[in-house]
Amino acid sequence: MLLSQTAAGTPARVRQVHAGRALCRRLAELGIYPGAMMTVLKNDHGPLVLEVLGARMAIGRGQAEKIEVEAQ
Amino acid sequence: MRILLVGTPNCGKSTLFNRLTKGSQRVGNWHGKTVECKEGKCRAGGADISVTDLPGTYSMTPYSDDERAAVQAVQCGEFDAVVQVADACQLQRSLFLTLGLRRKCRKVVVALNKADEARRRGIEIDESLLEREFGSRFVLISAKTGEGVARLLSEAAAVAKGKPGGKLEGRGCAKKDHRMVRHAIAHCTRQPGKKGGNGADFALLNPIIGIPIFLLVMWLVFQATFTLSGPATEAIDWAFSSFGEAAAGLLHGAGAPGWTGSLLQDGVVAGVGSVLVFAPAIFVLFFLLHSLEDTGYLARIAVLLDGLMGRAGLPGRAAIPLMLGFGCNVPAIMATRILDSGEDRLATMVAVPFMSCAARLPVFTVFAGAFFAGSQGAVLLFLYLAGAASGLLTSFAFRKLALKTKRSELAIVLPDYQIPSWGPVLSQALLQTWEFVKKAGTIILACSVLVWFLASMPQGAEYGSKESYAGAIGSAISPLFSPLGFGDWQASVSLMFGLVAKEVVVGAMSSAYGAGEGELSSIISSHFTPLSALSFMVFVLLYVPCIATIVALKKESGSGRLAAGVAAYYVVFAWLASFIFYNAGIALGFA
Repeated sequence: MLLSQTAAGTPARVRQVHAGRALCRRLAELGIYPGAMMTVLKNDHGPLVLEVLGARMAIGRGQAEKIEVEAQ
Repeated sequence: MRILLVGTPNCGKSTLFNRLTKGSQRVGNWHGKTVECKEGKCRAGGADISVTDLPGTYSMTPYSDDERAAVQAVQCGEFDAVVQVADACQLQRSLFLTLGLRRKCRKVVVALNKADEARRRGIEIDESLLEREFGSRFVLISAKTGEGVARLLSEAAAVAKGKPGGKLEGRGCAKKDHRMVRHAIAHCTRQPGKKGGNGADFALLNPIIGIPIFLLVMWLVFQATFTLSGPATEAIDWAFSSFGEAAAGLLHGAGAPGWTGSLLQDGVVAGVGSVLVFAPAIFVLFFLLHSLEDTGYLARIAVLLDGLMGRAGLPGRAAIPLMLGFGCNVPAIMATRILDSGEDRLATMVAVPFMSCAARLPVFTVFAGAFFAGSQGAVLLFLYLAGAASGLLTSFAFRKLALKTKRSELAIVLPDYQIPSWGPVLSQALLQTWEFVKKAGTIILACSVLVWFLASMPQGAEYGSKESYAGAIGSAISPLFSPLGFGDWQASVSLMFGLVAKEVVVGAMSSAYGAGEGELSSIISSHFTPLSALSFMVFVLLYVPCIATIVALKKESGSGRLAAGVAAYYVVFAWLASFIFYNAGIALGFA
């Protein structure tokens, strides 16, 4: 399942990030890397709001389409 | 001794910097043109310490210009110690940066800031256990209250004097790093369950509730910036015009030639005044913007307006400088500093001058009143929308053709909501206002003297009349404006004066046409047709707003070439727009 399709309120674990090296590293530094846990807080239109590493963050929809997750 | 302050955005770095270096701060430029860092001095343990506050960064692999500047400063090694400021309430992200820092350099001390707030929330942190995990000193401090700051400085001095911990070896791997950070958090800290707070975000990030709130906040900022600063601006205006008059009178009384008094009054004093009138608005605006940044609200605006502004290739935050442009372009261009990347800043600042500022309004009111009585509102609305559309179009084209990059997609941490720390907010606003006066002042003053020279020389010519150099230039360039419908020298001269400030256009026009009080609108009705009046308004809307705006563009972009280039672009754009508008009007039979 893609992160962009994950409903709000769902805890999820990252399976894979389908992106180039630069973006993968950037996302990893923000706490999004294979194996990382997150909770989707908002996913309707525009950027998604997630809870990662104990803090809230927002990422664009285009990036969320590159992140494969499994709901926990 | 020289120390660098490094930390994630919103970790309280500026508060610590402010506490350390009270009153000795200045802005320095580092490695990139659009990136600035603050420097200051303090004394501790009998030694002078110079402190550099670097832009906030989440990691040691840079992503934006600001982050790159911070990383390069650490890499080039011109310092005795690095103090990483970490938010004790959001330790996980900060520790990730600690790992990155420790791979680049040995001399790191970590200041666990907001210790008082962490205690209040029931978070316990064991400094010595953290030290064992990461191999650098950890010191609990509170930049707000001053707790632990003295100890932090003595630890920094000890690290600077030698016995640094070993460097962390190997390249970082996100997975391993996170495992290490999770381990450290589990072993060295005790945190109570996190409480929610999603309610505020739910409202602020929801377009239906959030956009009206955003508009309300913007309206308040706008009102405060241009109303609160109003009395101060008027006082400065009044003081300078009466001082100029008095000084000219004094010179005249002492028997000096007439032109010296005029130079002093209309050139120098008026020029200095025209720089200082911007200062109150810039100060109030920066105070409010830094406060909003501190509360965490600006990060929400970036999310809320991401989709909307994204269509013009701009980040969500760009809506703020663009809207401020309707008040005054100069502070609006300076407000592009709230954007994270240099490219976003450039793409936004080139659009700002098309936002119709308050100074253009008198021109529109006079012309719309003379030709479109009864439907002035519609004319004004058309002009404001046309300006905004031209701005967004320009920004879009600039990104595509000049920067040749795509807008970077949003990926930001939403900081916790908090009350701003007023000390740093105030000192930052003061510092930036002073920087504007100092840097922009000389150029604006020089231009003001030049305009005085053109308007009142050769000797004996009436100020701004046809016999003056300005009048001669106006007559010479007026054929350029014939195809736009306003080819007489009076129109050209007032447009030239409009380069100094748009407020002057109406006055310059009155004196060029020899119009007395209240006669201008009947005089222009005989010199313009409704169509050429509209064409003139379109030109005034779009051509260079004023010299101060171009100076601000140069200062904020760090490139004189860029500023000159876009200034030329504005004039050409305005000419073409007016030309198409006027000739389409004639073709459609509106002449």
